[in-house]
Amino acid sequence: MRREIAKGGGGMLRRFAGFTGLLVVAAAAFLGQGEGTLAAGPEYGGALTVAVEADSRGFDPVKAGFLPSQARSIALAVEERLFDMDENGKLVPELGLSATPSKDGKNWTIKLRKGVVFHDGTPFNADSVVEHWERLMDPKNHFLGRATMQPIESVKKIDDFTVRFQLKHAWAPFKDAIASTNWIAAYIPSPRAVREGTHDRAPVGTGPYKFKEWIANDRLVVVKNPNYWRKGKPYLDTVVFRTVPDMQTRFAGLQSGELDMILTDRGASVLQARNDKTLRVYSSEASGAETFLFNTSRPPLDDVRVRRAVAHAWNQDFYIKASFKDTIATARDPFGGTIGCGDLGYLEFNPEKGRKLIAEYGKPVSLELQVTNTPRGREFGEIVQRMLKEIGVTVTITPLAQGQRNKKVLAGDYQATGWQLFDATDMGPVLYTNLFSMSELNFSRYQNPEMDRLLTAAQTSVNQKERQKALCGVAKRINEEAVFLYRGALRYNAIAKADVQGISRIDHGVIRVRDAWVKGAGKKGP
Amino acid sequence: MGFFWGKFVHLVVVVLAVTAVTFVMLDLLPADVAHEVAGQSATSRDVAAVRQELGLNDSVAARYGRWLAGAARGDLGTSLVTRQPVGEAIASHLPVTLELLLLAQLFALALAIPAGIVSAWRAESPIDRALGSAAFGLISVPSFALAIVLIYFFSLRLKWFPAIGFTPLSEGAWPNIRGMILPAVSVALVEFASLMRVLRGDMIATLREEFILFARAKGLPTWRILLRHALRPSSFTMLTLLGLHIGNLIGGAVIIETIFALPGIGRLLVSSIFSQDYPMVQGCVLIITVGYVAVNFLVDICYGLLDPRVRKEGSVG
Repeated sequence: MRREIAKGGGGMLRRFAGFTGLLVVAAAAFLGQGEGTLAAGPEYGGALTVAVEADSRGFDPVKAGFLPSQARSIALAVEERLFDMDENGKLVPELGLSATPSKDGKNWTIKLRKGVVFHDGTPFNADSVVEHWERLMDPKNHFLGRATMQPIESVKKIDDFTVRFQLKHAWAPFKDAIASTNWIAAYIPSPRAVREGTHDRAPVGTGPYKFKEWIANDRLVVVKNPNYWRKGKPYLDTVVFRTVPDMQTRFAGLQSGELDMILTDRGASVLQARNDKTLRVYSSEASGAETFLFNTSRPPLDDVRVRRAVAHAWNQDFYIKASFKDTIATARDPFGGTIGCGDLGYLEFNPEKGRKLIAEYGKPVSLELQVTNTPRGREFGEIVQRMLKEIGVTVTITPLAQGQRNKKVLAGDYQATGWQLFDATDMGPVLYTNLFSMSELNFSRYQNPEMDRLLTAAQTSVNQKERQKALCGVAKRINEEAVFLYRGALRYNAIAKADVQGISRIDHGVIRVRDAWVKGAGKKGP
Repeated sequence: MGFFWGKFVHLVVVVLAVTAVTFVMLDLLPADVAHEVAGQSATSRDVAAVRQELGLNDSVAARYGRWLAGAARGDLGTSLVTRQPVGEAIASHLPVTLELLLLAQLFALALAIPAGIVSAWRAESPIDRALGSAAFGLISVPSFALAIVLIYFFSLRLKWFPAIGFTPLSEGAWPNIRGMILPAVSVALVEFASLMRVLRGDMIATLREEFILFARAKGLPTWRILLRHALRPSSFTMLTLLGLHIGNLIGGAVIIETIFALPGIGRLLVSSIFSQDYPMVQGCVLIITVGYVAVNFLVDICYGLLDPRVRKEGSVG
């Protein structure tokens, strides 16, 4: 994954835009010696207060259903997965030691770490893993993510510290299912806390921090786990996750000193923070994208000429400048730099071509565009309206509450809408559910046998090269057929006080507090 | 006794009406709580399962009946989104809002009473005009705008008060109060202006009464006349306004709680409305309604205490 860590003096970064590439390399080199920098002086003790936008929903996968982005850093502080994943999608041992696929790719044998204990004293072993997964796979429990993990047939205990995942077919995204930070099922909870029904609002895991208290809409507090199996970690005594819905307040809290770190997507704050020496901005390019989605089953957008015409009228760069103050990148594929595909036939801004295509279509075109009833949503609507006017397409804007918009999109009751393609380390499954003709989440209602073939290949092939070729094929087809348009790449931004150290990555908006420490906290030893 | 019964029946009728209307209005909203619970990547089958499980397929009347029966037994249900018991959520959010409203009222009165008295006593003088202009200025500024200005000066520039958040009383009284000062002042300043103007008007009228002239003739000191003789009979309108303002205050608190990230009822209500979490919305509305009616009831009692004539004539409410 392409990643850039911009330090406080970001104004300089812009001034020397030409050297950005060099800086990224330098930042990567700096990160490469992460452990070395830490050895130079992590300090123990102290507290970190992190502000997130919304309260968590709960941590029991069956009850909560999914893990919204604001809850991921908390889940990661308290619970652990079998594996973590590095920037290149390689598994990094956590509760699991090794994961070995069979030759046909239809089963994976996982060796587990010994001597790990949950915060409530329950020992971690094969039973904890099997019980967790069987619960999620049991249709009676109605776990919302069941459809996603449908290729998993069973999870069996081989011995006390070995489990085997049996798959229905070879399934490349299996690694994501056991290691993604976004995926609630990947986190292994204490079987006792789950059985007693307390895990949802008082999560118990094996992680570096223990849950202490959760005051709804205000704060969730975790404290250091003194028995953590990684000796010497974590560094902080306490981490407080505060819910601060208003972005300006979050930024003010950071400036006035009540908060140490915030997550944000507002361009203005990021620009302001870059010029503030006491603050430091962390950014992470993500896969997925902000999208402009079409219903390809309804006229006039069922005609590829109209879709391509709209694509030529759409000036993504202008939109990013106007709405995000250039704080997010342009997207031409859904991979956020994780795979290089070469030229993917992105339809460049060219109203002249757009007008020709509309003339070829031969009928007047008017569209109803759904946007969220937020300032940014309305801004998007107005920009589209103006751009499409250039090619003679009339746009009516319909602002809707988010829930209502989702409902209409799911029911196929729309023409065009603002949307988002979620980010994932492996975009294969996300693209599959969003574009496969028979998928229930094929929001654009796109039907194309060649697209289906490519998506299936990306799902089932275990050959890395073949998969990549298939995924690039999918991205190319999205552009050529203008299935949807890109409104910008996803980028996660976190702003922290300069004395917050040890934050190496914030991919998918997850803050890894396990490695964080605060300069001036005092103690050099645990 | 009849007085209390009358008030109680009044309370029950208001609560029934308000909760029923809220229920219906929430149902008319185009958003769908099942979609909220199931999330953006849920299939229509998932959404249908959620709807079934939450009993959302029943009619509005059936759901309202079920909620009412529960509420009558003291069971307000559980949140559809976070699965937290509503009673528990309210119990944890209510003290914050109460503290905010109480402090706001205290600040407002502490400012309005002296300012109102001075304005009435020195009516049409430069000081009265200055106070009047300040009051009109404050009335026309919404509390959230005031809040942002206060945060800018007192948190970011002077660093006197925190910009966000609530510190539980368990962590010390001063940190708790310190965090509440800016939010309370934001609400109080708007409130202060109208209270002061009303008190000034009534006081000017009272100061023209014969008993004031008589007190002056007796040679009583001015402060005594103003505080002991004129203030009490002049505070009726202000007191009524104080009761009626509770509604405004709660409205202001909703916004102020969001700006200062205070975990109060107002914020709970807003986030629940957005997710159409109707048990939570109903719980909040119930508490706010009961609070509103109760405060106005207290105001009625206070009339009697302030002026015995009200009690005798029975012209309460």
